[in-house]
Amino acid sequence: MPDLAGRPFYDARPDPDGGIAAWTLDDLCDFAAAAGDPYGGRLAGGHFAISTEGWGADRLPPFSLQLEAGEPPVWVGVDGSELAQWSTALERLLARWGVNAGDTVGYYEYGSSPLVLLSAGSYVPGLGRGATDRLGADMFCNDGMGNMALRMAEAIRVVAPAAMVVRADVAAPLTEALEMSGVWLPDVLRWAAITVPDGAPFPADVARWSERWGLPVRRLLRADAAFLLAGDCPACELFHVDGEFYDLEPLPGGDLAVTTRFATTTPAVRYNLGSGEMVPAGCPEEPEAPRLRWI
Amino acid sequence: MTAGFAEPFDGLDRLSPEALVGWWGERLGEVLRVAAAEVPFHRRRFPAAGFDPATFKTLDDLAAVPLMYKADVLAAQRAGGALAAGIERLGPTPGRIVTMSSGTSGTSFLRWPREWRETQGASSLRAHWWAGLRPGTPFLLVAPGWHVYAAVQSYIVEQLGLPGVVVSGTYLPRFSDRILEAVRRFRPRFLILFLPMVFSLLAEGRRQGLAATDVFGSVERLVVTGAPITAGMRDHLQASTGVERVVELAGSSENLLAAECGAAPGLHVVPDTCHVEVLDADGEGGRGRVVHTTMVPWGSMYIRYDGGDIGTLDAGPCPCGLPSPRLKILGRAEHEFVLAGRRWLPYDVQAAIEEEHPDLAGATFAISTEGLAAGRLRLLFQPPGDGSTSALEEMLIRRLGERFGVAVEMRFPRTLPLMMKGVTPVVSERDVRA
Repeated sequence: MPDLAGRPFYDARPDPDGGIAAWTLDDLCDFAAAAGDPYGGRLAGGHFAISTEGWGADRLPPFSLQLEAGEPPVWVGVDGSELAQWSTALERLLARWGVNAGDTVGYYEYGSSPLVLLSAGSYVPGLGRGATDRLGADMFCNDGMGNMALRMAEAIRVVAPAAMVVRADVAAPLTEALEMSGVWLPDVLRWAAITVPDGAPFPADVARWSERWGLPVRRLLRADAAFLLAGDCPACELFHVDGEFYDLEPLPGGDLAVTTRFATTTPAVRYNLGSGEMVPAGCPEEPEAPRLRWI
Repeated sequence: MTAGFAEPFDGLDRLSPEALVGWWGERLGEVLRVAAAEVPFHRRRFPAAGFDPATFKTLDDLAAVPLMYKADVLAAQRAGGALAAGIERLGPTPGRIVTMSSGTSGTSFLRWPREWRETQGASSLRAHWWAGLRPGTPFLLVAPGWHVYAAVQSYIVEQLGLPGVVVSGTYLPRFSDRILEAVRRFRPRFLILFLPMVFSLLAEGRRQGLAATDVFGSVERLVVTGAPITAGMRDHLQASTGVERVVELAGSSENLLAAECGAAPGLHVVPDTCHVEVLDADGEGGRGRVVHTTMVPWGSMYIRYDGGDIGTLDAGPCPCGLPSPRLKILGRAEHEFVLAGRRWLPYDVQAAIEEEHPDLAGATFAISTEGLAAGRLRLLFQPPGDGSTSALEEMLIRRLGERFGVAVEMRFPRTLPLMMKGVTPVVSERDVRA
């Protein structure tokens, strides 16, 4: 656990037990807007700002990422070690879903998405090897615009990825483009996964895409503000959480919080994931993995 | 001489032009031998064209190497898929990225191993160094994931130890509010942008009630890519952003890279990225087809590749001291049109307008295909801010008519997309709202 003292966001969030009050993305955005601090007061050493003369730039984290979710936009900071562990969470998730050496994973998602960035070390300064790199797999990213759907269909036909990860908001244009291009996904892919910028896609939507595309469609659970990445399990259908990196706790009222052990630059302590419940470990696929049902 | 050139990047920058020709010859010989030995696409094509890499000694021998075109790559891709197109040399390090070429003639998929990233990254760092990038500034990583530059810019950030900043979404006008927020928050001294994004940021700034200095106030070097800029466009960019130094950088997914020094017209070819020829030029230094050859023997190897660009190459000495010739890409061959028996590019019309009327530098306009079909130059022109068009119309019709030797017509649609600003398209009037 990093030292939270002197980080304005956490200084402002004591709970009656002497700990930190759980918080949501809205809390962070509100705090960032009020303080004029793009990191929402999570950096060590007080509020962050670069003056017009440029002072303050030396306090920037090695890598800063603007979150897609939340308004106004907030930023997280990470160093190489944090990137490596965050990408390991993705690597383990992809491995569990069956990505092997020699495969290619295609992303129909923005190049700025943590999923893409953490996948290949080529994209991120200081990451070294990314998730697909370590699995011995290749990857591509088509960008996440709906008008790029035909190009994604062409990429699937030509590059023949074993798996693809798709933003929920471009799944419909992709489906049209696949039909226009005569690409039948099961001829190429083993599975697809759907992602949203914050949280997880609805199971009913995923079931619909699975039926339409004729192949298994997995769900990703993301909380980028807390560096959480989790994938559902084909066997138990619950989200498996990497116990090495993330601590889950139930909150009063039926919500769940996560604390991310590797997050030190902009720590994520007691981030409220929303409504969900912890499920005891014991899935036959990963008997030790903590699990959650996200509602 | 600019400040940047007081510090050559390395010894390659200090070679004489003659020594660089020798260096290129040696390096190209090695690239050709690797391609013939290890890259199936070239192993087939070289002997079919009667070319033996063992006979390659100097740049004078380059003419024997067969030209390749995007259609060749697409055909190989169709036949074998991206994995079997046979144009790639992939190293032993696992984890490659696949990127995509842009353009209207079909998408090719390029594969890049880590070995390529190290070599190309070092060369691209040279281009950024020329453009004035130095340690001590945050760096906005602007390339979308599908573009090869995404891998290069991260290497540059690593090597210079710059704080890397990634904006959510992608670098298109729809996300200009987020990009604007990042520029204002992190105050980069060096900013590289796709040309239309500069205007999108200015428009977003105006929407938010900000002056140009509120947006670009920290930026000392504004590097623009994606379209050739005219002299007037450079002045317009400087005036509208307040940035003192605007640098043009040209590149392609297929390993073309050139950057401007500012000491003389044109963009210096980055010698350890590529060698460039201009073929079928109309005289020494005249315009012709740009053909380039990778100097990086990894990944997708494009050798004597005619990517469809039209440009000029000036091999004369440059006051900045860099030895490589200066390339100026003027447009795409597919956008060429004929007026009064001569070939022109939209760039020529843009340059002519700003020469005739400097206040129109940076004006947004398009060239009508219907007009060209009738043998006329018909311009779809964004009206001036004050709405007055008659004086402008009279002047341009007369002066451009004299220059291009055809009748000139003007149309003033209510508005043109911002994406057309600085990137003059040849479009059907049906595609532009009245």
